[in-house]
Amino acid sequence: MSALLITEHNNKEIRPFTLNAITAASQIDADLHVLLIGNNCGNIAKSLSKMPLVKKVLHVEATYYENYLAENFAPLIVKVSENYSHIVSSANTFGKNLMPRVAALLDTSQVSDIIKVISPDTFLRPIYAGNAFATVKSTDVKKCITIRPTSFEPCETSSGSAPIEKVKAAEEFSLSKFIKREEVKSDRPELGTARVVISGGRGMQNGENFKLINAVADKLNAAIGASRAAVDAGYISNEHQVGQTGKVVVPDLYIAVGISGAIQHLAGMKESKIIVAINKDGEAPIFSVADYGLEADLFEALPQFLEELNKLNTIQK
Amino acid sequence: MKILVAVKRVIDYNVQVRVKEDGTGVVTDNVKMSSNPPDDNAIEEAVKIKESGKATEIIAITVGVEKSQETLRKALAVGADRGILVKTEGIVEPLAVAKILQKIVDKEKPDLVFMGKQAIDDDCNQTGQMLSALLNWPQATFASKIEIKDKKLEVIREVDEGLETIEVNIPAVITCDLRLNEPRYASLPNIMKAKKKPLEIINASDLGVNTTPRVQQIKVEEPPKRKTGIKVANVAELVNKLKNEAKVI
Amino acid sequence: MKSKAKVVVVGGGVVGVSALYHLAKKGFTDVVLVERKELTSGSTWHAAGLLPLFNMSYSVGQLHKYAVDLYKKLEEETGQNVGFSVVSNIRLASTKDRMDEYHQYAGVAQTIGVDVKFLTPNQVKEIWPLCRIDDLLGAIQHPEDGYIQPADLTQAMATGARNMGAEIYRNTAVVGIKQTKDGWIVETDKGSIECEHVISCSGNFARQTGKMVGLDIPVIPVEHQYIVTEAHPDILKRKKEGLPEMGVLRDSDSRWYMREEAGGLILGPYEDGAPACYVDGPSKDSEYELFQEDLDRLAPHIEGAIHRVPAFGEVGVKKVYNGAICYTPDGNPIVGPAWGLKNFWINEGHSFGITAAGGAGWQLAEWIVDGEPTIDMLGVEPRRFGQYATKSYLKEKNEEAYNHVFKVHYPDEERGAARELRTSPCYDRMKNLGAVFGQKFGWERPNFFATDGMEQKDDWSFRRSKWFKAIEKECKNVKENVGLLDMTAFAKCRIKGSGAEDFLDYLVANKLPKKIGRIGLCHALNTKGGVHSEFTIMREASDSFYLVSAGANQRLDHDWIQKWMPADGSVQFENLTNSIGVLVVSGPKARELMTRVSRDDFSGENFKWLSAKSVNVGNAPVNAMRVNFVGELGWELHHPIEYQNHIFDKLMEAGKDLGLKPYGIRAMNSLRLEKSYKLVGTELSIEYSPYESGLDRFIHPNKGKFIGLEALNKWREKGFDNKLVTMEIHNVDDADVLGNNPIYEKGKVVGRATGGDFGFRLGKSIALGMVKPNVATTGQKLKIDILGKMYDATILDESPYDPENNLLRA
Repeated sequence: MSALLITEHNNKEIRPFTLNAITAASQIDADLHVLLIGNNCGNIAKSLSKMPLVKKVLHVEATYYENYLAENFAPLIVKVSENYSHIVSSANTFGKNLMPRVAALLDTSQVSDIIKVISPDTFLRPIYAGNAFATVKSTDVKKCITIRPTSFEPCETSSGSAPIEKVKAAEEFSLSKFIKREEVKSDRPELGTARVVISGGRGMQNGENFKLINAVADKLNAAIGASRAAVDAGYISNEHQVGQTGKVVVPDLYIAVGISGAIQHLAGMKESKIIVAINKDGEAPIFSVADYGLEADLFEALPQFLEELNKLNTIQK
Repeated sequence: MKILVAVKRVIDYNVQVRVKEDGTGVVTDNVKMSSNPPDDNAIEEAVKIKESGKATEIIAITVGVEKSQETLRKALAVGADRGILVKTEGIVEPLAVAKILQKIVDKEKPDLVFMGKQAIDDDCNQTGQMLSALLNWPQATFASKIEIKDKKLEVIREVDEGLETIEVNIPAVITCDLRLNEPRYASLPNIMKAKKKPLEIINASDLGVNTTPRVQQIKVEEPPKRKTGIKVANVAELVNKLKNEAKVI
Repeated sequence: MKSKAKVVVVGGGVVGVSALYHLAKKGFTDVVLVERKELTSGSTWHAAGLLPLFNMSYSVGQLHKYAVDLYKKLEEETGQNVGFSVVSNIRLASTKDRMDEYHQYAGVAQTIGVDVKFLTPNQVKEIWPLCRIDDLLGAIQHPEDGYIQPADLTQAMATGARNMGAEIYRNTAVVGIKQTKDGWIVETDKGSIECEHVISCSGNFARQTGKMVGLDIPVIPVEHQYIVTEAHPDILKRKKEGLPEMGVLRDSDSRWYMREEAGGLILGPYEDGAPACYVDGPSKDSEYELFQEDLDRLAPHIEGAIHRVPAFGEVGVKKVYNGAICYTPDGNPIVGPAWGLKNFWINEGHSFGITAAGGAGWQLAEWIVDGEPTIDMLGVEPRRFGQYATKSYLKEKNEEAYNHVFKVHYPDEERGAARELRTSPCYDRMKNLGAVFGQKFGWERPNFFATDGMEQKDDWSFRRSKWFKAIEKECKNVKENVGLLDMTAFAKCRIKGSGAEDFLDYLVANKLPKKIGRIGLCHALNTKGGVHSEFTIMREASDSFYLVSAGANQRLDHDWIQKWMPADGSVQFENLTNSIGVLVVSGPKARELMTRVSRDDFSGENFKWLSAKSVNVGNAPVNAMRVNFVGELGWELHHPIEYQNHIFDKLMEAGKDLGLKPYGIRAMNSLRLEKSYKLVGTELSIEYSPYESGLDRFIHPNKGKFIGLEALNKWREKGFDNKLVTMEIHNVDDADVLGNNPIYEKGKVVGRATGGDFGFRLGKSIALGMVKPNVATTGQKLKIDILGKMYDATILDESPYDPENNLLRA
């Protein structure tokens, strides 16, 4: 038996995380085939066949596969998976939406969001928002797995030459219809899901001074947060409050400016990947969770920070 | 319309989860539990639909231990009309939950099934999609806006690329995201009144569903500890580290 | 981390940090604090932050007042805001007893200098428009009160402490504490610290810390919940209009506090049924831990809150916090020296820790740096509980202390949990005679005897209640016939050895009795010259002395003695409290009674006042001491406890036709007041020199060195601010002086009552009090406040009943 990876793409190009998924899938089973379902996606089939880890590409075409509705993909995948022991996809919204439907139709208990392949039936996955890691073993004959892309390296994309096989489409599911898709335009990212958050605390001294925070937020395309003290003092409105009675955020980068780090605030941001603290009190509790702490006067540090950011060529968005 | 909302009792999101020393799981004894936050969004959406006159009954359902009644009571306090507890012991996988819900759907015949997109304990994000497959219904996952248009739903979903709008026929399964709405807080009089609303308790075995897990939990361990941070000397060093070491900007 | 420091504070909540701050402020800058996780991560972080100035206790009230004043100044001193909202605090009353409680309290407040106002219901409405007032009798308001941000307060004091040189080590757990010759070694998971003093401020971990040094600390936490609602439009409107925050509201009769929070409300009830938690201590990983809420057990209080503030029922519940609060059996913290250990200090059991932290740190710092505290700390004394405070006792009592927070604190209340714990052998006999019991230091003691068809149960009040008539009967019987009192609960010990006499001579300010069998009333002063303990000392032999003191102070007095004893083995201490029973016979027929039960000579010539003899009562060996606390002819019969019932039965049999009847503690109190007899904790205290308390004839400054002599002499030179007087209160109708009542002259406060009662032998309502020396003359007219009403009072000569002591010396 071998592994079947469901390709994530938009018919014009492969979505980047598919490359990470391929790496993961081939760790499960080196005999990896990929399933490409789409509309006019022949180029993608070719790109896939060039990936050394891919041993075969199964290509299915139909107009109603254009917008990867899970209800359409699932029955087809169920049919194709007859010959496969593992069905794999990456665990972003595409895979999360699709894979459980497949798993239920296969009467299999899916394993979601794995971060490590220990053996073909044993995996490591995060639970409780990553506060614990579980080693799990699937006892189902067929296994449905989604993988966390950032835990696997993207695969090589050239020097391979896998055969491409055409597969017949399945019937259309008529009860769901795709209407449209929009890239989200925003002045600022939403606090709850922003990749970067910069927050101000009582140290900001007044609402006017938050413009220093805004400037950096603009530069980093960050959302703006605040401590309870800043909100209580009226510096900024309360939907910016990060903390136990405010929002809980898990950005890649959290910058706490003039925030002492009371427990209630930490509860709202301590799972951030990287925490930066800027505070003139070197003993403030915030420094105990900060990866990078800068003991400095924020009124000097913030403008300097902006200056340094401007010097950099590219900011990761 | 009749709406079925599935809710789950999980460890409160504020609790610092601790792994048991013997590695068999996380500590749950004497730990504060609450309703799964995305499920609060699910209940809220159902209540809003009822308030707009488009639904006549909301049933809250949960699958779990006896104490899960607390979570049903909360749903009842916010506006559900009655509750169903399907009693189980130990870990119940999404597939089993989906099968249980399928039996209940067959019995109660709701027009819409709402639930949070994922539970914050196991982070599986599977149940809604699985239920939808078993029922052969449309699924609308990660919903951030819902509009009822006659016998269909127009749903805006949050996806990686941005927002996707789909139209699904009723009946359908919808899984809710945190941005769908602002869950209301139950007032104390409503919390007190909720104690009198009907709450039915069924055993999972009575429904003929086998809840034995197929995925074995071999062990649970703590993630690598957060490394002790460093103090940087100045802003230039900070920016340098963020770019080249942490790679977050 | 330092390896040596003068003081190590264990625990980084608001209490520990305040202790550190105050030590540094007093000049002990070589001090460190060790915290196992992060500062405030135990109970401080989830505290509601209220600052109640209200407290019925004189000690605790002073500690709270100090704190509120300090917190206001912290921002200026440390540059850190503590988030103190001085929004005032209103306590509501819907019953007469509650109003009595408030009036009694207002008296205490007057004497401490705490500002409290009485409000009419309409005035309450002006401040709290959302409050329903039609069923209220009134309210009191503390304008200086309010609430604070606990974490900010703690960080501000931490900054203050650090600025003065103190160090704080976080994420450092104490794993052991060992005693050394000169002090202590505190072992942590990051190294050891040698120090002179250790202060335990470990909150929920109190018992675990105590175990490290072999102490059974009487603290077990209890769960407390508070509800936070979402914003209410009326409150948001007030904010928008710039109206002031409504202040902390306490509906005492409904047993909850309420205040504004982010446009909504917080409700914190003190309900029945809240369980003790962390009975065996929290887990070592616990920090920022909360428990599952239980709104069901809050239901009656939630209903009460909605009744009182309908707006509370109109908004949704945002969050319910359920966290641990430390408790002790009586609800007051324990702040002071640990028993049996030198330089180990306890600062635990804080149920109102945010408020008490300031004052507790202040007094502990004085105690440690200067050697003594400046205020009477008996109300928070760690040694006020004894060995009887077992873990299971604590569980019951602490849960009771919790649910009593808002119950009316009657002066004569006797709480019901964990009773019938320590009983003297004659307990059942007394019960059959109608005794209604109270407890002191775990001992059951008859408070009074139900008579004339009265129900055999207590009746608490701030005024005269059902037992008034009962004690009238008892007192009159003592005056006319003879009464029997069980004082087995007395603290007793033997001090002997070659160095015993010298040691006791140094311990007390009086001359020791010279002859064997003689008794003296002696006082141990503290190093500042205030009165610490009172002992009746009997000389048993040239090198052996028998000491008796108040039962409530057993651990305190015995610890004091043992800590001052020389270490060279020349003095031995033996605790005899539990092996010796005491029955007291008093009244004109006492001699006749004793003659009937004993063949020994009880005549006036051969058994003088203040002497003791070994006699037999029936067939039992008894140490009869001719001394008593009620001013009549009488004897204290000290006996090996196993003989008690034999003695009891003999007395009762022989006394039948002499009118022998038992009497209780409440009658004893009335009787002793008529003799102006003083008690430690009221008329005698470390805040008063013995001269102020009228102990002149018991103090011999020229006899040689004794503890406190130097300070006393300096104090005398400086001049005294108080004098103890005995007063008659005129035209009293239904309430006598209870104690702490403010005394006025020409409209100004000139003193406070220390105790009072109706004197049945005199037929007068009397009180003892401390007043300014210039108004302390016999005949002086004064005014005194009893429950909000002013009464005229006249100063009498000391010992108005039988001033010449003819009866006792008969």
